[in-house]
Order: sequence, then C-alpha cells, then structure tokens
Amino acid sequence: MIVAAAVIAPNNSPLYLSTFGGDDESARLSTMVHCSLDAVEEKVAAGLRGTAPGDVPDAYLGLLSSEDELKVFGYVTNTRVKLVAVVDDPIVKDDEMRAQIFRRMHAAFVDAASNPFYQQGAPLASPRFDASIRTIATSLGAS
Amino acid sequence: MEALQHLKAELAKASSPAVMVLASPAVDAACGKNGLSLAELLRPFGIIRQLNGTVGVPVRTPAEHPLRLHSWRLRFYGAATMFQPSPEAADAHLRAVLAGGAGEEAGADPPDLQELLEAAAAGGGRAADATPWFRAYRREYLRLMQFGEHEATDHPVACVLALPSDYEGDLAAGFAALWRMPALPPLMQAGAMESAAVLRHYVLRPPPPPAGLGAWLSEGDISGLAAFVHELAVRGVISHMEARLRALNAQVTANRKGLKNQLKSLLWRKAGPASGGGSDSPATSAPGTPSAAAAAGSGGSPAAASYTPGSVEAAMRQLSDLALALGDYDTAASTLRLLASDTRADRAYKAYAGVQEALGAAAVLAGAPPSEAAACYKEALHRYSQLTTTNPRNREGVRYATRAVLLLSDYLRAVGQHADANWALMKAHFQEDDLRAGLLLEQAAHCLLALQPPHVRKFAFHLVLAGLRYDMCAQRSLAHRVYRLVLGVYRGRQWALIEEHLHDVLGRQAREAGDAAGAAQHFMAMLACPHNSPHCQRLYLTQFTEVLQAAQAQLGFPLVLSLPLPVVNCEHVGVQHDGQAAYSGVEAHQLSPQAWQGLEAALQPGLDVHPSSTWLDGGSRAARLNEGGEEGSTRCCCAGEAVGLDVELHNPLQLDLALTHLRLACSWEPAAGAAGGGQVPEGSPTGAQGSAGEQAFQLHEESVTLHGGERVVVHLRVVPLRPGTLQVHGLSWLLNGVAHGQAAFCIPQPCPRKPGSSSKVLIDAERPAPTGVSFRVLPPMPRLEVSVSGLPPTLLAGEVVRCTMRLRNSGAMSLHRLSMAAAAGTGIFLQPPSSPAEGSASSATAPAPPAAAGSSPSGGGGGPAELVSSLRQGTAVFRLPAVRLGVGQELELPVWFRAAHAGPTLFALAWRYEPLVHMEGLACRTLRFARSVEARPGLHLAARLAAGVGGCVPGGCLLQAQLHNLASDALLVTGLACPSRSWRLCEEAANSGDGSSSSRPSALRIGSDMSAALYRQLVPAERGAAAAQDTAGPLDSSLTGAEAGLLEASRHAAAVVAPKQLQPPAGQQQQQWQQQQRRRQQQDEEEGGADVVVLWQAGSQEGAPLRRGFTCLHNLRQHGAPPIAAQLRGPAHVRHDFGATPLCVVPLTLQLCNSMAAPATLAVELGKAEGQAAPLAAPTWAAAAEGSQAAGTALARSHSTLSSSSSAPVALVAAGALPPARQYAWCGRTRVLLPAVPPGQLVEVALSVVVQRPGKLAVTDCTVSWQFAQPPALSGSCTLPPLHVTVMPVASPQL
Repeated sequence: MIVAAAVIAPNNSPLYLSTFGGDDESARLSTMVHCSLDAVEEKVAAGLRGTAPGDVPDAYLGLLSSEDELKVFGYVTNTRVKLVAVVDDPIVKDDEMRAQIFRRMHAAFVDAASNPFYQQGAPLASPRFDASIRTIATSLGAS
Repeated sequence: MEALQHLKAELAKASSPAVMVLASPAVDAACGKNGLSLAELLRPFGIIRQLNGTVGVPVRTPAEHPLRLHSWRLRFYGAATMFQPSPEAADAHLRAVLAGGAGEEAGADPPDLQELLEAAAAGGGRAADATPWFRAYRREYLRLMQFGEHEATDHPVACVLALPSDYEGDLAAGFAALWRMPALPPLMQAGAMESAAVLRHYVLRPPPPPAGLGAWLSEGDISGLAAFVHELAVRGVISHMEARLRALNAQVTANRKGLKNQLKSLLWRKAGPASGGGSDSPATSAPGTPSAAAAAGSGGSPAAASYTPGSVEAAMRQLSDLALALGDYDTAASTLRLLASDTRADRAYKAYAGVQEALGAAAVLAGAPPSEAAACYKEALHRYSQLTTTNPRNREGVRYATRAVLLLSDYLRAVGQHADANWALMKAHFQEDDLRAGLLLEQAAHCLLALQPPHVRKFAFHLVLAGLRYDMCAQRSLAHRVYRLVLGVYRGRQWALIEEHLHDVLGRQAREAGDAAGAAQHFMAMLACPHNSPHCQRLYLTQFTEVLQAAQAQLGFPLVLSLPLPVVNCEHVGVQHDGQAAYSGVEAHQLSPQAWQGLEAALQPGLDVHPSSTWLDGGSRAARLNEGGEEGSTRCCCAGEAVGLDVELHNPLQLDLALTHLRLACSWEPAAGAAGGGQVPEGSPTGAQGSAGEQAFQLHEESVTLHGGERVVVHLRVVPLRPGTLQVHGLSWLLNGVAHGQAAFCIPQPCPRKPGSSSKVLIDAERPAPTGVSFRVLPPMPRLEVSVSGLPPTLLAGEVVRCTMRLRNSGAMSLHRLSMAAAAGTGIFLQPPSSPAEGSASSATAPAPPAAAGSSPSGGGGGPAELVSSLRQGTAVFRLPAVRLGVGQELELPVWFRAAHAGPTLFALAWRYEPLVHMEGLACRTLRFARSVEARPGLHLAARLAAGVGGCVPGGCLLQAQLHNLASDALLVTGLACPSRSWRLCEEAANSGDGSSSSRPSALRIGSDMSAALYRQLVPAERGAAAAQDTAGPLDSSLTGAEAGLLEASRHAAAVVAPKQLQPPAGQQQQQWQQQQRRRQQQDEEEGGADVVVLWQAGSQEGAPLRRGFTCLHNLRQHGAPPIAAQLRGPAHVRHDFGATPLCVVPLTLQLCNSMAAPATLAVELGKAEGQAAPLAAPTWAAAAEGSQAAGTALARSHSTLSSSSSAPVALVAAGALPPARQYAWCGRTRVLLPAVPPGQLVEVALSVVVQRPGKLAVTDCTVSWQFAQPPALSGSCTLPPLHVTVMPVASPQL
C-alpha cells in the first residue's frame, strides 16, 4: 500500500504531506519525499515524454528513487505541482500507479484547489482532500 | 584533469620502490642530533626530477619494450617503521589527525549552500575545500594502510646499511651484524618480505656535528645527500630492479606461462580444493614449488590465507609491483591479470582484491578507459567487503575496502562520474565504523552537489546521515557543523518534520556542549509544532523553558527571543486612533468606514456653497474629503489620547499559553524643528523618558491566556504624551512567565502613487519595505465624547423613544461649530433645544473642575443653542452653530430614536466639531457614534387604497388598513393620519383646506396577536389648495414635533430607497436627463401617493411607562383604479304606491369621470350580463309581497328571461322551474355612447329602472366600456358595482 503521499508546490514547499505508516516513520518518509524532488527536477529538466510521438507529455514520472523496500513514484501536473507517493509493495505496475493513483490524486487536488476559499500556495488543510487521499492510498493493490 | 593528474601522481608515488634504511645506533644518534633519522634525512631526496640529465635511464623490460625513465622516486623507510600498525593504534592516530584538522575548521561557520554549489561546479580542489579535514585524514589513512601482507608494493627493493665512518672494527662484520639486527620489518622477519633479493648498499657515514633539526646540514651536505640518492637510484636500484624483474619474469614464465603450465594449473587448481578435503585454502601454486599452504591448514577462512614467499603467486605479485615501479604498465597489467585469475580460482579473495586494486592503479597510470579502472576498483571493493561479510569479526576487509573506495571515488570524481562516486562511497560506508562512515557519507553527499542538476536535497539527507554517524562517535564539532549546513537547505521551506528533527539534534548538542543560549534558539524553533501530539508539545515547551532558564542564569540577563508562540499576525494590525475621526465604541466599528465617510461628507461646510450637481461631482468630492482623512500618508493622533492597536494572536498548540506583560514596542522622536531630544528607543512599561526628562509616551500592559487553538485579538494601547512622531515597531510579551518574546510588525505598505496620476499604483514602482506603524503626534486637541442615556436595549418596531444625549469635551481645548449627521432612514431626531419643554437641557452645564471652567469662561456658548436641521444627500443634518464647549464642559440634548423595522438596528450618527483655535493639520474632528438596539415586532400595518369601491366619490378611494399586533402587549391605536397632497380623509367634520388630515377614533385596543381593520374613505383634495400647503408641516396635534420629524425622515428614506435610474447619462444628454428628472419629480408630487400613519401607545397599564410610537406606510398608490371612474348613484329608499301605479320608475345617475390625460370614447351598456345572470337575483332580491319564496324565484327567472330580450314591461309568467327573473328593467336606451369625454371631466348620464313590486333590488348589469383613440390607446370595460335600492310600498304590507 501507499505509506506516504505528498503534494508539493511548484516552489517545492509541501502543500500536503501525509504518512500512513506510524509516527516513527513519518520523519523518514518525509525525508524520502523531499529527496525524491531531486529526481523530479532531473526528470522534468530532461523533458517529459509522451507515450507516443506527438502525444501530450506524460505527467507520470515513474520511479523516482527506492530505498530498502520503499519506492517513491512521482507525477507532475501542468502547473508543476508534484504528486509523490511512497509505496511499500514489492511489485508495482506503472499503469496502475498512473491511472489508479496519480490521476485520482490529481483530480482530488484539483477539487481541493478549486475551493474558492483556498488560497494558492497555502497548505491543503481540507479534510475532504485528506479523506480522498487516504481512500486512494488504501486502494492500491486492493483491486 | 587536474584532479586526475593529482591522482596519477599519488598512485605513482604509492607504487614507487621502497628503500629500507638500516642505520647503526651510532649513525642514528648522530643523525638524531639534527632531529631526523637517516631515513627521514634521505626521504626528501627520493624525488629525482632528472635521471641522468635529460637523457634518462633506459630500462629493458621483460617484453623487450624500450622504456626510458626520466624522473623517478624512491621511498626511504626506516627498517623499524616498515610495518602496518595495529587497527587500534591506527584508529587512535587517525582520530588525533581528524581532531586536529576538524578543530580548526569545524568551529567556523559552515559555508553557504550556494558557495558549495559553485565550488562543486568548479570541481577539483575547490570541491575538497568544503571538507579540509578529510584530505588530511585520507592521506594518513592511505599511509597507515601500507605494508599489507597480501601485496608487495611496499616491499623494499634495496636496503641502505649505514655505519659510522669511525667504526672501529671489521666493517664487513659490522654490516653483517647490522643486517641481522632484530629491527627488521616484521613481515621480513616472518619471511613474507623477500630479504634475500634486497639490494644491500653499504654506507659509511661521517658523524655530522650535533645540532637542531637539520640546522647543521650545510649546502655541501645537502648536495651530497642528493648526489648519493641519485647515484643509488641510477647505479644501484634501477639495475638491480631490472635484473630482478627479469629473473622473476623468467621464474613466472617457467612455472605459470605456456600451454603446459596452463594445463597444469587448470588441473591442479581444479583438483586442489577437492583433494584438500573441503579446505578452500589457496594452498599452492604450481607443483614442485615450495609453496607453504600451511597458513590455511587450520581451515580458516580464505581471507586469512596468503601465499608463501616462494610461491609463484608471490613472485608474480612482486613482478607486477616491480614493473609498476619501473613504469612498465603492460607487464604489470598482464601479470596482474594472470594472478587475478589464479587467486580467484584459489578463492584467495584478499589477495585477489589486492591484485584488482593494483590492476586499477595500473589502469589509471596507463591511461586506460575509465570503465576499466573503475571496474577493477569496484571488484576490489566488493571482494574486500566480502571478507567482512563472511566473517564479521574480520575488520581488515572493511579497512581495505575503504582504501579501495577512497581511490575509486577520487578517480571517479576526477573523471566526472560523480553519481558513481556517490554510489561507491555509500556502498562502502555501511560496514565501516561510525567515524569513517560519517566521513564517507559526507563525501558521498558532496558528490551529489557536482551532479547536473545538483541533488541538493539528497545532499542534505546524506549529510543528516553523516551527522548521525558523527554524533554516534562523539565527533560533536563535525556533527554540529554538518547539521548547521543542512539546516540552511531546509530552513523556510516548510518541511516541518525534518526541521524539527534537525533542531532537536542541534539543540541537544548545544546543550551538551554547555551552550544553553544556542540550545534555546534551537528548541525555540521546535515550539510551533501543531502537528505533534499534546504530550510532545508539552515536552518541547518544558525542554525549551528549562534551557532558557539555564541560559538566562548563565548570561545574567533575560534573553529576548523572536518566539514562535503565540503566532502574531504582524501583517494585519488594526489601528485605532482618534485622529480626524474617532470612534466612540465598539458598536461604531460595526458600520463600514465608507458609510461613515458618507455621513461625514454631509457635514462638510463647503457642500452648501457648491452642492454637487451630478453623481460624478459628488464622487470626486467624497474622494477628496477622504484623502484628508485616514487614507493620508501618515496617521495623526493627539497627545494625551490613547492609540490602540488590535493584534491578532493565535495559539497553534493544544496547550494553554499564559502571556503577560503584553505591550507594544514603541519609539518616539520629536517633531522636526523641535528643540532638543533624540530618539527614544524602547519604552519602559511606565513610559520612556524623553530628553527633557518627560515621558514621551505611556504603555499599557495586557495579560491574556490563550487556550489551545485559540485565536484572539488583543487591544494594546499606548498614550503619546508629547508632540512628535511615535513609531510602533512591534510588540513584546512574556510567555509562561519565563520567555521574553518579541515580534516586529511588517505591515505591507501600498505602492507609491505618482502625483496627479489616475492609476491606482505605479506598476514599475518598487513596493516599500513593510514596516510598523507610525503616528504623527499632534498637540492636545479638543475631544468630544458622546453618550446617550435612556435608550433601552430592546424597542418595539416603530416606537419613539426619547433619550438624552450628553456631549462632553474631554480634550484639552474648547470646541465649537458642532454639527451632527444621521442617515435619514435611521430614525434619529434631534429636538431643537430651544423648545420650552427641553429648555433646561439646552444650556451647557459645566460640572467640570473650576480650572477647566476658568480656562474658557465663555464655555457653554451664548445662551440657548439654536438648532438648524436640514436634509442633505439623504442625510439629516443638525447643526448647533452657537454652541461652544469648553474643556470639561457638557451639553445635554434630547434625542429621539425610532427603529422602523423589527430586527437589530444600528443608530449611527456622526458629530463634527472644530477646535476653537485653528491647528495645522487637523482643522476639524469627527466622532462616530453608534448604538445598536434590538427592535421587536410591534404593530404591523398593511394598507391599500382601493379605487372604484361602491360608495366612493368619483376619484376617491377607500383606505383599507389592516392592523396586526405582533407585540406581546396590547397596543392602543390612538389615531390614523393620512398626510398627502392629493387625498384627505373624508370625515363628517372634515377640516378642509388642510392637505393632510387625521382622525382620532376612540382609541382602538388591539390585543397581542390580534388584528383589526380600519376603513376610511379618501377624497381627492382640492388641488389648488393642496399645492399651496406645505405637506411637511405639522400634521395634527396628535403627532408631536419629534414624531413629525421622524416621519419626515422616514418618508425621505423611503423615497431614497425607491428605484432610481442606474445608468448615468452621457455628458450631452445630461441636461435633458435633468429636465426629465425634474418633470418626473413634479409629476410624482402631483400624483403623490398617500402616507398612512397609525399612532399607537403601549404599556399604558399601571406601573409601566407610556410608550408611544407610530407605524407608517409611505407613498401608497391607488390600487386598481380604472382609467374611467364610474359610479352609479341613486336613492337608497324609494316609496311607491303600487296600488296606484303598478310600475315604479327609479331614477339613477351614472357618473363618469375620465381620469386619464386624453379624451376617451365611452359606451354604457345596460342589461347585458347574461354570462353571470344566474346567481344574480337570488340573494339580493327578496319578494316582499309574495307569500311563496318558490313562486318568487320562478317569477324572477321568467323575468330575467324576458328582460334579456327587451326592456318592455314584464309579463308575469308562472313557471315552476324557471330561473329567477329580474325584478327591474332598464328604461330607455340600453346603450349610450359618449363619443369624446375630455380628460378630467365628470359626465353624468341619467338612467332609470322600473320595478313592479316592492323589495330589495341590486342593480348590477351596467357595463362601461372605454376606448382611447390617442395615446395611451387603451380600451377596456368594467362592470359597475351593484347599487342597492329598497323599494317599499307606501302602506306597510299586511302580514
């Protein structure tokens, strides 16, 4: 399952960071998410590739880093908001991550950011967003 | 490339031949007088730049490749030092080296991240400058790892034996004795080092004169030493090495090379382990050699095994190392490859790893592709690590692995493969002990900075790991430095958890180091942690408090910190100061400043002179008025008047925070040009002392307890006492009685505007830096205080309450030109105080101290104040031109309040006054006063003016007023008034000539939740007379003056609320539009709707005070008035002798009035109401003469049937089941056409009906149709309301 999920602003400050592995793990997961931003920058600088020539660039960045049994996957939106998920499953399919996790996370983020009371760049404190991310986090591997 | 050259030189040095120096004790003693041993004396001369001039020395390699040595190097070692120290001794030495290196550098501030990035991008030595201690450590580490037993690199190729020249005795015996001394290297004693093949060079040294460190070495000595070493190298060592190389090569070729040997090796090596009984020792090499294999006999791990000195593997190793030393990389590499395969087959992994290391060095030195060298080093790293993996107690493998990785990472960084270098260092650090792991991690981190793009975050993470390792091995200074460097990466980027961890570690380190102040800083940064549990938050707070107390005990004075608790909203600070405008309380703030400005604009005296003609003018005028007020650049306040700042404090934790000594941080400067006085920096609680010894301001302290998650706004006050400039920088507080905190305001300043520019801001202008709040302190000014007494908190809607308004001048100067404004609809009325009832309140009383009264003897103005009231821009303005209030004087005025509607109501009024003496900067001041009350529902009034109701005069209408008492008490309706221009109440005793009238019915009592209806007929007023009257005049004695004023204000407000034209006209059409407006206004006044006012009283029972009020509706229009007012009139009672004449003719008159402005064509049709004929007669007509009701009904029906066809005299037909017939018939024409009725004219049409029998009849079927040929081109019709006529016989009917 997903042990940590994060939404990172274009200026690389965390908008949302939630860990599902217990308090003692949270600092480590937070650091992992933070470190993975290096890989995101590297991949974004190298250019996002579409799945086919002439296709729109794929926002899914794939595996960013792995440490022990944890794998960090990333996704970057058109506004350069990064979605990061830390997964502890040994086998993770890219298609599943792309469609099942990140698209849904992106949709949830768009919903939360569309709230007229949400101020751009402020941390996402919406409980509804938090609930939807938790739902998505537990859904990986369940299907 | 520079780094690569440096590495190559280092590797060349490491592979250069070693020369052992054996000196007799006498020689050592003699050299020791210089402070150096003989080896040390020779060592600097081991670097030989030019061998044999520029020609060089030719060397014959085993493969007969021509090779020429130009520069060379010999390493001189004392025989006693040629060993590898024990790991413990080595580590102790390395720790000392690190402490020396780090002690100087780590204490300094860590470099900025940007500097590091630039250095990493520059590469080479600059990158290494970030960790200068590592360079020394690495050098020493590599040195201490020499003389390994599994490699021959450091085996001496020659030995210098030195005896003093005055040696007495047999020299040969002496040298032989020297050679046999027990000071030989341990490996040589053990036989691992070749001793027989070492070139022995015998030297007789003259004893040098005793002296200090090299001080007695003359020029001649130095050149002599250089010449000696040169001679030794050229004549002795090279030729000896050459010969030995060839001999070893021959041995290897004989035993290892060639097909036969290959096969032998293959077979024997394969068979070896099997025959060895499971022992996987490397055992031997070729059969026949005196290979020992004894070392592995104990069945120990392969790592412990090594080849005996005489084995062919040892020879191969020596061969390769000698070839490397001579620069013959081809021979070295080929031999090493052969040896690698052998050692690998033997599973002698330590030797194998050593061979791979040497292969790597050969590849680097020979300039092989980077991947080749890296692969060799990586293999060495892997195999060395494996030694410890298989046997964790064996730490040797780790140490060699670290050596390999140091060389590998240097090489990879030199060739630009920083990611690989990072990988290698990370791999190596896992098995190392904490200190070296920390060092390796730090180097790995720095590799990441050189990547493109730099991996700054990973760098920080690796540094955190390094810091952890340093912390574990008690390297505090290094750990501290590393964490501080990392903190720069994370700070301010909102990664709360990571920052918290770093501060935690740094704080603990600082505390252990005894730096309580530094620890307090770090623990303070951890305080704002809303994501943590309350337990954790309390822990942090306690930890911080303890450290802070310790720090304050150390320092001896309280430490003022920028505490993160509570969170102070420094950007939005509410400023309350009585500059031009002052608020009289909290309720006054409920109204928006724009609304207040609207009120104040109406008070401007210039408006009377230049009334704004259009909305454009008005807007700009209002804007100009505002500019002079609060929106100006600097805020003004007056000396002696408190300035308040509303600061929002937030407690993010779930704990309670006690804040005491909460106060503003201020400074004061005297006004420019004022005599004396510098800046007064910080105010003490009791106020700062000015230069003249006076207090410049006075601060008020507050205390507040913030509960968990609470957000409060605290009002902090400062009272400036002297004119000048008061600057409020921020605020300070004491947290939980221990921590002194402070916060500076950073209020964003608006962008500067270009003078005269219409744009809001200048796009390219630089926004000024956010600052605190500054006030211009003006000299003492008058200050009006307003209070109202007698206003209850709840009212009935419509109730009129009389209160007393008390004005008091609490300032330091007399004031005059008082004026007050209230929005017209608010329901505030100020009574002219000159009226006799309030005469006592009109004069200003002066209960103030005598001094104040004496200062203005004329205070209180001259005599009774006259009050001028007017309506201006929808605002009621009351002026008291003659009133003058001295210092401390009071004035009482009666004031009436009325809440028009139920619900919360805000009574807002603005007072404007001017100081008696005109002051620069503040010509006038305003006071914003508001009181809010809750209005409960009272009497609900609904009314309509129904036109065309039967019985009304033409053009008149019926007022139907529905009253409903929503109050909880009974209400007594005392009067009904209908002030209007065009209507008046129709009464028997109508007071004609008055434009309005009221009736006073005997008081109608309406209980709670009861309804009542009032009907009054309104007749049109005589227009000429009405126009002459002033409708705003007093209505009646039933309405008091105040009520009339309130009613007028209410009417005005209702007119304002009415929809207006929203679109302002363009410039050209403006005049036309104004004319239209004027016409419309006139028309409105002409047609003018009626106002309905119901006067009521409440609480007239015993005990309760009498409460009066009125409920009104404004501008009621006639409801449902047709364009043609038609009225059928006739006698109500007719007596007729049916005996004399069977038919009774009743004359009727139809009055028609054209109320439109165009001539109309009218048609009157009679008797055409078949559509609704059926129900007509039954209830309205009763046969008085007939005995049977049924017969009458039948008769009526037949009559109806007949009369529909003609209006001829009716024949009686008795028919049982016929519908009821009419009891009358129209006489004459049933259709009357009136071609053109002029507008406004009353036309009468004479009609008549005949009745056959006495009874009650309802004349209904009269229809009037109209058509307007001209605009408004209307057409329509209406059926007149029924006219009831009672026809009675002359004689009473006999019953």
